[in-house]
Order: sequence, then C-alpha cells, then structure tokens
Amino acid sequence: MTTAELQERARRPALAGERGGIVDYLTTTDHKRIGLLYLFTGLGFFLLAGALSLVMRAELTFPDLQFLDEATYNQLFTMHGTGMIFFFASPVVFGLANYFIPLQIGAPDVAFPRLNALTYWLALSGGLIAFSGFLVGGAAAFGWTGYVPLSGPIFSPGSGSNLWIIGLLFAGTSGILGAVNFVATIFSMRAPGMTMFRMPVFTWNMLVTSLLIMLTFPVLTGALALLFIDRTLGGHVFDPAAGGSAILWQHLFWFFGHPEVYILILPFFGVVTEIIPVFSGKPVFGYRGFVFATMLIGVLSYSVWAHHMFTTGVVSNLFFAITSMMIAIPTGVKFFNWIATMWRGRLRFQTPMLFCIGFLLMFLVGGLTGPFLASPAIDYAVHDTYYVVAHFHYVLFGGSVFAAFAALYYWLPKMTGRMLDERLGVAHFWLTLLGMNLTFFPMHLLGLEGMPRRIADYPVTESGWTLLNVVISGGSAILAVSILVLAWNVISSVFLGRGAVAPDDPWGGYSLEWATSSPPPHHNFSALPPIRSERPVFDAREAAGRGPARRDPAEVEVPADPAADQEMDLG
Amino acid sequence: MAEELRFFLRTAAYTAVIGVLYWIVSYEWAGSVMLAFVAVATGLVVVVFFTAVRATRGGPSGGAGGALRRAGSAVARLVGFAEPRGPAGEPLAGGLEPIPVGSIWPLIAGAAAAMIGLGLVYGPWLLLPGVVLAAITIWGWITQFDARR
Repeated sequence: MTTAELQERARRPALAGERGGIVDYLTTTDHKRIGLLYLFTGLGFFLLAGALSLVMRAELTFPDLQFLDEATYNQLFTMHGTGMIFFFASPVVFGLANYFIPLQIGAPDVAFPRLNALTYWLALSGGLIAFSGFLVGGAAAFGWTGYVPLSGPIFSPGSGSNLWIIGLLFAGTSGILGAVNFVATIFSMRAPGMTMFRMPVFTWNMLVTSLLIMLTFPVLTGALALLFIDRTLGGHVFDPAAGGSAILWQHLFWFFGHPEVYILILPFFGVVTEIIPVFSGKPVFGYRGFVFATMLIGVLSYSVWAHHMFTTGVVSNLFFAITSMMIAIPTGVKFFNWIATMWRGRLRFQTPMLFCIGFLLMFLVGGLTGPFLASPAIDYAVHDTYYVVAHFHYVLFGGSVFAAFAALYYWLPKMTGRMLDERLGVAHFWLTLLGMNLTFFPMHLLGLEGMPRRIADYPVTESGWTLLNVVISGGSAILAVSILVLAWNVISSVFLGRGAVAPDDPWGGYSLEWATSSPPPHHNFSALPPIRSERPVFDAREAAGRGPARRDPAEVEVPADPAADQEMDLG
Repeated sequence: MAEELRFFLRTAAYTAVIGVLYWIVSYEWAGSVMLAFVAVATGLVVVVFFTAVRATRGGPSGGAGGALRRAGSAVARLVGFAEPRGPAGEPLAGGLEPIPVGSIWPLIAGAAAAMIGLGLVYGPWLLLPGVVLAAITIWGWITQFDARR
C-alpha cells in the first residue's frame, strides 16, 4: 500500500469500504456486511442482557432489599440467560464466521448469499420476539432451560412464554440454515491450494461447530414446537398426567443444550489459536493435534447431555460421568498446544494477546470445575447452587467473552480500517479481568455454602453470604465500567475516526484475511498468494525476504517511506 | 478418502458405537433415538459423499452403474470435491461467478416469518397476512435472478 493510498484512506471515514446507506444494509447479501450486522446485533443484546444482570445484582447486594418482586426477578434471569446464549454469543459466533470464513479460505462470498441474509433477519427477529415479552405483560420466567411443567400452560400462562418459544424457534432455524451455509462454503469454495489441512484453525473449528449445530439445533426446535403444541393446542407430550413425560423435555433440551456450550466455545478456541501464534512469532504447535482435538470434543459432546440430569435419578450417572470427564482430554491437549506455541516465542503483549492469556487462565478455572461437576457425588451436593453459576460463567465469560474481546481487537482493524486505542484496550483488559474474578469467583464459595441459584432474596447467615454478595455486586459494577471503556474505544476509534489507520496487515498475521485490504473490497481479493501451508501470508512474507511484522499498532500511521508497505500488496 | 468424507464418518462411527453402548447401559429411548438419529444422518452424508467421490474417478458410463456414477458426479461437483481449478496464485476475478448483488427478499422473508410466528401467538389476523407475504416472497425470491437475466 502506497503513501498516497494510506493518506487517502486516512481522510475517509472508518468502515468506508463497507459503509452504505441503510437500504444497502437492509438489502445486503455481502457476507462482510452481514457479519457486521450480526456482530453489532450480538453486542446490542449483550448490553441488554448485561443490564438485566446488573439489576439482579443490585437486588442481591443485600438481603431484604426487594425492590424487585420474585416474578420480575424470574423474568430477568430467564431473559439474561436467553439473551446471552441465543442472542449475544451465537450472533457473535455467526458474525465472526460470516466475515472471516470466506476471507480465510480465499472465497469471494459464502455459498448461499441470500440464505445468509435470511439467517440474519431470522436471528434478529427471534431476539426481538423473545424480548418483546417484557412489553406484553411479562417475559418468560422459567429459566433459559424452559423446564416443564414450569414452562407449561398451567404454571406459565401468558403470551410472554409463547413469544420466548417462537423467538428461540427463529434462533434455532437461523442457526441451522447458517450452519448449512458454512459447511457448503468450506467444502466447495476454497481457493486453489487450500486443502482441508491448510485451513486456518478458526475455519476448522467453525466447520466442527456447524456440524454440531446441524445435528442438535433440530432437536431443540422440535422440542420447542412440541412445547408450543402443549401450551396452545392442548397437547400432552410433556404432561405426565396424560401419559406424557416431563423428563423427555430434559433429554431433548440437553441433547441440544450441552453441545450448545461447545457451539459457543469451539469458535473461540479457534480465535485464540489464530491470535496466539501471531503474537508469539511462531507457527501454531501441533496444528493437526488442534484440529483432531476439536473433532474429538465435537463428537464427545453428543454423549454427555444427561450430566445435567444426574439428580433426576433416571439416567445412567456412571455412563455420563465417564463420557463427560473424557472431554477434559482433548481440551487439555489444546491447552498444552497453546502453551507450547508460546514457549520460547517472541511474545508481544498487545491487547488481543492479553485477552488470549486472560482466556487461558479464566477458561482453565471453568474447565477445572467441570470434571468436579461431572462427578455425580459432587454434583448432587452443589446442583442448582451458585457453584454451577460460577462454573459456567468462568467457561462462557472467561472463555467465550474474553476470546470475543480478543477477536474484536484483533480483527476490528481488518473490518473497519481503524486501529483501536491500545491504552484503552489494556485498561479494558485489566478492568474485565478484575471485575470478572470479583463477580464470579465468590460464587464458588456461595455455592459450596449452599446458596441456591435463581432466588430473589436470601437470609442473613453466619457464614457470610451477605459479604460475598456485596463483593459480587461490586465486581459486576466494575465489569459494567469495563464495557463502557470498550464502547468508548470503539466509538472514538472507529465511528469518530480517531483511531490510527489500519494497514492491511497490522499484526503480521498468517492467514489469508491479511492478504487483502482493510476493510476488504466487495470481492474480497484482487489476487491471492500461493497457498502451500496453513500460513500462506507468512510464507509470502518470508518469500519476499521479510520476517514477521512486529509493528506496534500505536506506531501504525501513514509511513514515510512508500516502499515500507509495498509487500502488503501480495499479488 | 476425502477429508470431507472422513469428517462425517468419524461422527457417524462414534455415535453409532456410543448409541449402542448407551442403550445397553440405560434402556432409555429418547437418548438412544437421538444418538441413532445423529449416526444415521451423518452416515447418510458419508454414503452420498462416498458415491460422489467414486463417481469422480470415472468408469463406464452405460447402464445402472453409469447412471449412479453420473448422479454421484453431479453431487461431487455440487459439493466441490473436485480439486479447485486453476494454478495457485492465479487472480480470482477471472474464474468466478459474478458476486451477488443485494436482494430485498431475505428481509421480506424475515418479516413474513416474524408475522407468521407472532400470528401463531396472537391469531389469524396476523398469521394469514404473514402467509400471503411468505407466498409473495417465495415467488419473488425464485424469480429474482431470472428477471434480472
């Protein structure tokens, strides 16, 4: 890229390559725009569901506050979980996949562009429909798991619950269609030379995730349809009094629900595996090991669903304890690979790498409590306590959200053409790390002391529930501040255009998305480098006689020497 | 054997084995059926892909075998098993289909789906217009590119 081009880009507003009128976005079939729509929609629901959690934490700060009644509190935790899982994490996964799968495999778009647009509109509609329950007399209030008979017509009358079912049906349908699109894209649109085992790990992980979605989301949507029939058409599928089975709902829900955890974490394993090698100055350690570990996690996840049902007494606890604990093996392989990738590397502790290291530490805590919960003896003791809440927040916040933030700092320059501010990024990281641990670590202690989840009030106890709850609420306030820092960083750097202009490859990346402009043109690539390994951009840089780029984003400005960025034009 | 095929084969094999084990230790229907569903679904993909891969290797084109091979070859082209054409490094723009332009129909389809979904909750006054809009959408969707052409 020449000086003139960089200067011209600096004058343009951010997102100039993508910016269009509102009609352009409403009618777009471009995978990049759809990816951005997914990402901003996901972040919007993140703020909404996060606000619900702040209200809950305010209520629980001290006992006997009760500015929320129990019915409202139930709605809040239900829609917090629903929003975070179905309408924040899933859209962010689909947003990143939409934007980067075609770029990483050297394709001009996804296989079915119009279907791709439809999946976004279904996902958005689903979120709005599910949350619209708040406007019609009360949203769903039976937890994100929707257990019957609590979610049935007797205990949860009203349209809010029906809207929740319809909203999730939309999300499920959207997910299935999107997964089909990703698999078709990966199988049929790879660039010349891009064999399966030269694909970036993020794309590999999205392939495994897509298969999980295709095989488990239909179970969820089928179960939701049956629940809707029970509620509105007089069905008795889940009604034991009429020969139905309430336990059947749990089987159907968790056959989807546990793979869903991997649907929400495997793509972020891929994100971290993209970032750590780049910021370690080394190739990823054990590329094939990573891929096979991902596949192993994927197939094992089909056979672990009923560890959520140990206490029902009607499942084989031994079978599910063994299969659940087996998942620790491929996950451990990944951890060793990440550590080995960093070992003796030339580490750069910039914001994306900081969030990756935070991910490793936080997800490790969540991962270690997993085998404990997979032990039926322990699970009986802590079932439905705050210990479980602590576990899955360390997995999904410490894992997915940390990695999502890493992806944001790593890839937003590619998407927008602007670098995010590094100092604000570092501040965001430390605030998030502090806030997360203050919020979720004490929940382990509360759970071990027996505090149940999903209660709107608690008694004053001698064992210190109040102090721990005060710490948790304080931590959640810090998390809220950290989000404000991130929001200001994005607004300031991208929308107000104060961020440094992003070159095509600001980090010295390895995969094909760094071989095109920032943001990429409509057709993605004018030319591709030869693809002879899983690091084609690195190979091209080496062939051109330069080692990996080691530029600090703060230093990335219009270069004085026009030749300095010539190698970015890899064609 | 193509990696795409092995990808599905691993899932089919694991879920078939674990499904049998699960049935033996639990005699529980729901989980056994779901595991069987996963095994059959992915196994079906393996069979289709295997047929497609064999078809790409050529052979006599007459008779029932030839028809099967031609069908498999069509699937192979659809799925993209054939090695991508063109030497590495060749500019992409020359060998690609046109980049798709925008379309209003996905948005309208989403709106129609929302009307149908809300209509299931609130009644036919919303459901029926949603169905009509969906019918219009399907027509517009499938004829869009014909009209442009």
